[in-house]
Amino acid sequence: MTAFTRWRAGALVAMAAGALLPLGLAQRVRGRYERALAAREATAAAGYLTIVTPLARGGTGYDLPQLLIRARALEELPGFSGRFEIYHATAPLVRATAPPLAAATLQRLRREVAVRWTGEAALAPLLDREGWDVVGAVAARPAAGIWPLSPWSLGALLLLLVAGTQTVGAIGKPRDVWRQTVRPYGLVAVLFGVAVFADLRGAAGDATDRWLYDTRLLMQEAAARSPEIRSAPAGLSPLARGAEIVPGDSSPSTAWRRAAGGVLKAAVAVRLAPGRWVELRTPPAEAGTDVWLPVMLGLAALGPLGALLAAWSTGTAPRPRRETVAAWGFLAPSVLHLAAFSFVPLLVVLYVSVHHWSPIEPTRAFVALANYGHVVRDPVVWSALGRTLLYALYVPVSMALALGLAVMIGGRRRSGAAMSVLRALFLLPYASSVVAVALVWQWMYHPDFGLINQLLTRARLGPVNWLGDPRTALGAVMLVSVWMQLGYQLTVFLAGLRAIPQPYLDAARVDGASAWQRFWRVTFPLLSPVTLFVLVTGIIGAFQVFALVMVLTGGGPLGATDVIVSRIYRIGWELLQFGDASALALLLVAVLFGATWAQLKLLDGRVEHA
Amino acid sequence: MRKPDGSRGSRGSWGAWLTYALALPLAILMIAPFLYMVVSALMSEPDSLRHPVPDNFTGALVALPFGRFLLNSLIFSLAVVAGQVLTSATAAYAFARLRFPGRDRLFLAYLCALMAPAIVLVIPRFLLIDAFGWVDSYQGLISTELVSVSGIFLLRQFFRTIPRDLEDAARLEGAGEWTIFWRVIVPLARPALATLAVLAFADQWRSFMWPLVATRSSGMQPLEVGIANLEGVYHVSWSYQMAAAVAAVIPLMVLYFVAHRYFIRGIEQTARV
Repeated sequence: MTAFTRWRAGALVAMAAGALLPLGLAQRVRGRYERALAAREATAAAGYLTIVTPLARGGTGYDLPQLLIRARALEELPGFSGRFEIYHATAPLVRATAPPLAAATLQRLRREVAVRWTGEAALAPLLDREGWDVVGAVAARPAAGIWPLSPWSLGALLLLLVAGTQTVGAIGKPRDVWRQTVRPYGLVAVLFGVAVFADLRGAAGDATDRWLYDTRLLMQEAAARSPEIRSAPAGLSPLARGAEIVPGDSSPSTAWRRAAGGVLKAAVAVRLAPGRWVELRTPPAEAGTDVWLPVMLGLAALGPLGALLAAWSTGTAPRPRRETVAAWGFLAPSVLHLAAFSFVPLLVVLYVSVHHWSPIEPTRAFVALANYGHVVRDPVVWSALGRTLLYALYVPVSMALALGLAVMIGGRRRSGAAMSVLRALFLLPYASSVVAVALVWQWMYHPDFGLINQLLTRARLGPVNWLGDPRTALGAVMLVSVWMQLGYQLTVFLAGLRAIPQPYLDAARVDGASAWQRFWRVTFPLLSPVTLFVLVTGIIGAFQVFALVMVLTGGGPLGATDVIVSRIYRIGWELLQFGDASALALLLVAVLFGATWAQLKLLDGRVEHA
Repeated sequence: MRKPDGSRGSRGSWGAWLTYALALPLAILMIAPFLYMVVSALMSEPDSLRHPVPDNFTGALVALPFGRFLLNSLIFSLAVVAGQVLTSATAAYAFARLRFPGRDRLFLAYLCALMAPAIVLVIPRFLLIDAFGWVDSYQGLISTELVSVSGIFLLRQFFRTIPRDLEDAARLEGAGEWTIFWRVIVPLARPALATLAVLAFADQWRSFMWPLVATRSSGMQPLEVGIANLEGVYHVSWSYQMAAAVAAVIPLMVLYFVAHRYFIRGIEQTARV
């Protein structure tokens, strides 16, 4: 009974964690957006002051009384949400009683000329008119306090607590009662995660909007105070760091979201003077929040998962329970690794394949299936695919050789020392380094001094530029592949031959079948699963050939050996089009799966009939 | 398997001679490139290159961090082998011996991971280690390779052939799963673990695509990537190229001659999936 209550308490803790962790995390993330907003507000205010403050008569610095007036006037702007402290050198201007800026902080601002954080406020450097020197700073505090939950989240939270307590209460009840309570709990947890995420996204969008509105106010104020800005809006750019100012039309006063040049932008129309409108555009903060959805859902799922675990533990006998726990312990390293380095990457490659993605460009616009369109329409890709198919033809060739050899060596069933040495020699190329092998063959294929051409010249067949001639290059690569794979295939066939029961062959011999007939009537049909395995794995391997081609020919000459994987590599790492490369890689997966399936289907029939 | 078989004596020896006559030249063809490689490497300057080539063998040796390549290959291969043997053994034990809900579905998921071709994983894995700041580091090079699904299959197959009696005896004496794994299964599975270790080492030693993508500087490149770039650096010096190839092959050759039965067993085991 104590164990039972312990599991129940555990489920309750999990429920609390599933409710509180998403809220806490959302609060932290929102704090991050608020800080980013404060930094941008401070930068905008500093830019504004630089534009509107007149210079002191006869001096190069700002007119101090005027700076004081402008700084205080910022607070009075109707609809302005930013709250600032403005320092001239280290002296506070807005609230005279506030503590002065630390001299060391000002020194650092001078040196770095970038936004700094001092404990609780963002400090933006206030530059002089020429933009050469830092004469002060603008401090903006992020909005603090607990995040007001939206009614949706609040409702979801209440539902979550109700469903959670119900479920914890139902632990130990009969199976159908338990099922009826745990399912709604799971649903509500998903709802809760989505609601908290929606709040977060809304908060991020709100921060962007507030910055747009505040910056618009500052821009309009600046335009009203210094007429030269009206005709040259480019002068406003220090106000709008990280945003762009483009000519615009009169529009409603609210901010909007629109795709510009394939990238979603948040924008607002700014009226600088009657009939003079510009548009202020910035990347919306909510565009970067997507990653939090899975995190929120995962945290919200803690509650139901804890309840499931508790119910399973209390309802399972100790022995299977221990075994399950042990099994997951044994599996944990590989499960976590596969999740992180195989399954997440598969999702990532899907994601990248529908985005315009290049490591040297910061914008990653969603382009739907455009990347797939690029690669499907690219004739180079199609010729690479055709070439790969042609290259894969080496597999049946080397298989025929390997099978013949296997029958010759293994059919005798004598594994004397000489035979095993022979086998070891055949497997040598397969066991050695691909790059080294490619280098050797490069040298053997050398047009002037290579071994092959020296022999050919001696036989008066003339030198052939094996790897340099587009007509022979692919064949030359295939020959090396046959040489490399022969030993592997031989080994597999020998194992297959050993598994064939001798009485079958003896019976055929007694019936007077010749060696030829015995092979085709008995050995080959019985070997067909092995043949199928070698063929399928061989073709799959041939489709993925990379190292050999890259070192032997680099895909040349004139692209004559450019296979599909080397093409993907080039698209990704030489043309730096990761989106296209991902799309092509996924298409290759589809082709491979299709080919494997077709081969299995096609040959399955033959295997069964045999 | 071998049965006394009188009637085949004379014909068998005939056939054996024929086999040798056909297979021996082929076998010589198979090793000819290796012999050629060694011969070319030993000649400090290919005698067929008549025009004078400065003896840049030593120069190239200094210019290229050959020892570093070798060290990188060793660190990379050994770390990955250790990781793969450990994770494969534990996972294979769970799949072969323990009963737990969802086992078959999980096994299917592992199978799916095995089906994904290397190139489709290279791009996102690169982005992943880039996000961690691990490009051009041992962490980046090694971390993605630490689990091998084919290794798990190989060991699972072997573990299933181990009789259960020993485990049951240990269980009766109150040993936990972990004790059974370490004290009973691992000692019995030593040949299988050795097979996996040999195959994994060879696979990592000659792995090319991932090190090519995950490393940038010659200080991090393993031998295979390092000598593949050699061609661009010293195009003329074929003898040096061959020397590099010999150096890359020698560790694998040694491994092969010492442990070639493990190679063969590994191939036969994976072919029986």
